[in-house]
Amino acid sequence: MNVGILMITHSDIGKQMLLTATSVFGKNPFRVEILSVDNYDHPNDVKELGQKYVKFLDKGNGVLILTDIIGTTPSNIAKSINHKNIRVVAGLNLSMLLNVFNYPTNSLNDLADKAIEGGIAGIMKL
Amino acid sequence: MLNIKLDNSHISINDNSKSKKSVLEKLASILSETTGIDADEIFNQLYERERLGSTSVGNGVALPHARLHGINVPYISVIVLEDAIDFDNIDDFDVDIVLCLIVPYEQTDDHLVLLSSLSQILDDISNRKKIRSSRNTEQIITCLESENLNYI
Repeated sequence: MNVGILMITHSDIGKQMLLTATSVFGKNPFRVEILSVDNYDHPNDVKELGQKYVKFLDKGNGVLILTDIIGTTPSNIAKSINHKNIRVVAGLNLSMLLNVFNYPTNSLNDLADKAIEGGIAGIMKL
Repeated sequence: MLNIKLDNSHISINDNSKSKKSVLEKLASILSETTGIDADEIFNQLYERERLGSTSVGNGVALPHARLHGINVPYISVIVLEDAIDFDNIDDFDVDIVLCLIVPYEQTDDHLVLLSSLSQILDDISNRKKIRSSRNTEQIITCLESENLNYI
């Protein structure tokens, strides 16, 4: 079974990125859940939810957690999740998500690398 | 232990639905009957979730789910299809077991606990076999029994 993906992002960013990536790519080949974090959410509550999402998503091959900006509540929550088989990548952008979509059968470690490669490749001077 | 509404009227076996959309419509109609919520509202929420990515969990199983205003307890509906259908599945197995969960909007925690528990039941191949070979709705309910869940 494929790696599961959990997106932990500020408000609706994750949902909109996922909808756009799915529409550009044609389909979403992963099991994805989105945990959106709002200003009024208590970090501990969200962390608990994050744990539950990861448990639900892990079908044996682990969970890749994608989060938007490093050092903020979503990424802090992502880092604090305790689970044996997760990788956390921050700096979520559309290019990252689309690159990940291309490798639905890769292992968790590979997929985390693909996320980083894709994310960086999408940033350039035009 | 979590309470969930599930009775014979929530279950359809040997179902002839031929597409993902028609399955979601059927689920919305079953759940509308029992909850009194408008079927279109239920359908729209389930459909909106599917747009984000398939709720297929592999091995021919899908778990469409939504949080809805206007209910006080979680509800489950089950459709076992005569012929497996394309559910934008994440693996090569088309879907023939569809278990739909709706929970009260504010119960985010319970929502996930329920999804995990139901998905664990359906991860077990012997449970999937029993569900596929069930001849009546009581047998389906028996297959879904779990120590965490209390069907009311």
